[in-house]
Amino acid sequence: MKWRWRAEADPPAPQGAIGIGAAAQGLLDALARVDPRGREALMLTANADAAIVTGAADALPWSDGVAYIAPRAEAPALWLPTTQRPDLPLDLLLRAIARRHRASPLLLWPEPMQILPLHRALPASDALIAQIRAHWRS
Amino acid sequence: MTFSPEPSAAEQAAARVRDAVHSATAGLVEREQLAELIVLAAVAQEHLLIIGPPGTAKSAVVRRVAAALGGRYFEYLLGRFTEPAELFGPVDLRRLREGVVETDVTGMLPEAEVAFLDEVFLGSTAILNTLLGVLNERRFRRGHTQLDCPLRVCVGAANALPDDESLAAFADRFLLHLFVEPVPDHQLEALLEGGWQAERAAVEHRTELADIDLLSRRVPQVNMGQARGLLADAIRKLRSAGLSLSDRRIVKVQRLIAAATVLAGRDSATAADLWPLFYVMPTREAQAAAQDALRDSLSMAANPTLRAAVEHAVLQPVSRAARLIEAARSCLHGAADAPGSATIAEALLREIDANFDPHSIPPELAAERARLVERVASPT
Repeated sequence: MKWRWRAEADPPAPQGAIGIGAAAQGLLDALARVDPRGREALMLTANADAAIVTGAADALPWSDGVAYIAPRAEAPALWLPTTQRPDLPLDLLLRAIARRHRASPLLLWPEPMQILPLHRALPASDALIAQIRAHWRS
Repeated sequence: MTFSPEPSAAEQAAARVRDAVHSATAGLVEREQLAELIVLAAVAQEHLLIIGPPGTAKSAVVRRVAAALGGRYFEYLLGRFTEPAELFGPVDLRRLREGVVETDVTGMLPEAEVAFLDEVFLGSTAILNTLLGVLNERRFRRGHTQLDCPLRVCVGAANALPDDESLAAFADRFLLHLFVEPVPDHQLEALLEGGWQAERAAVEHRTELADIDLLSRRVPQVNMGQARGLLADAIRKLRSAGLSLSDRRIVKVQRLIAAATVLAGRDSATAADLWPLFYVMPTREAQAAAQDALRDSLSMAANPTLRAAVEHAVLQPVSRAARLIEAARSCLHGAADAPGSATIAEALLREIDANFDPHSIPPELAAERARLVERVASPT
């Protein structure tokens, strides 16, 4: 299946934020600065190179280099950057991805192209932030 | 002391047309674009095809624009069994007694200045053939009757584009294609409130067809020198993306570009006026793909009279960028140490980054973004 990314004509409201590389550290720092009550509604997950926070648009942290993500109505389990989308029907794309990746929901990210599972996100507590930092340091 | 020059007659006419569009769409949610395209088509002496499900206020908008423009209006819902006489008028019985087959066109389509034909592809071959003459040449021919038609613009509507080849050729005669959708979920409150008010409010007669005619006469005088090269580049981009247009549509789009220029109050077409090319793409898929392929070509698109039509055609709505620039300036204008200033700046940065990535952000907004980043980094 051949497809390309194209700009999103009408970007949706963000439902998550992603930082990759240096921006991942910035996102985690910005998240740590959010007061604990504001953080209650946010979920956090990370891998070796990226951090992802999900939650209501107004509650999401901002840090330079961070990008925003959201699913679209036609494929609620497929999260995408708010500013871009693949140039083919999202429900079909999701079905094709789901054959190889059982986890749901998933984030499809363009640069570097990767698929990131979001189902392991946990409440963005101080302990989780500290755990991710420790993991990155090691 | 300096004096601003008096607006020209064309600028005044464009301003009245702008008011008319605004008045015609008051209370109708997300339908400004349709009203503006009717005006663009009328000034260019072309026709508009609307494709979309029933109940999307297509006829309401056309009727209200026609009322605001003040021309003779004809509207008809075609069916498989519609007779030509229902559109063009009955045979003139007096003349028939004299052995001449003439049509009495009083109050019918051949006399209309603005026409709306719903379910246009359901018309019989006889209807569509006669319509072709009316649309293409503004000439009505039937039996012994041959008349020049005063038609400025015909708006056709259908639920979908036809598959049949002969009907597809007929659809091609409508240079502008607009695909309308039901109002989205987040606009439902506005739809309910607006619909309630629109039913009560009468459309004010804000302009005259003479304004459209005045603007229309200026179309052939527009200097297309600069735009022609840009248009050729844009068409090459479409072709390299696998999107083709018939030679007829390519040539005719120049009229739309010139009409957009006139409605913007200028007499030389520039990169700001290429956007009608989007609406010339015949299918919904081609329009979506063209938005991507023409991203750079349409980045300068702007028109003070036809804002909604431009916004829909280009990928990054100018209004969204303009709104964010204005909000950023207002935030930066306040004291950096004011309570909540950093929070507001962060919220704005979040909105900017959620709408524009580093490749697509307009330079003016990028500059304000940089200032906001500075504000957040050093709040005092």
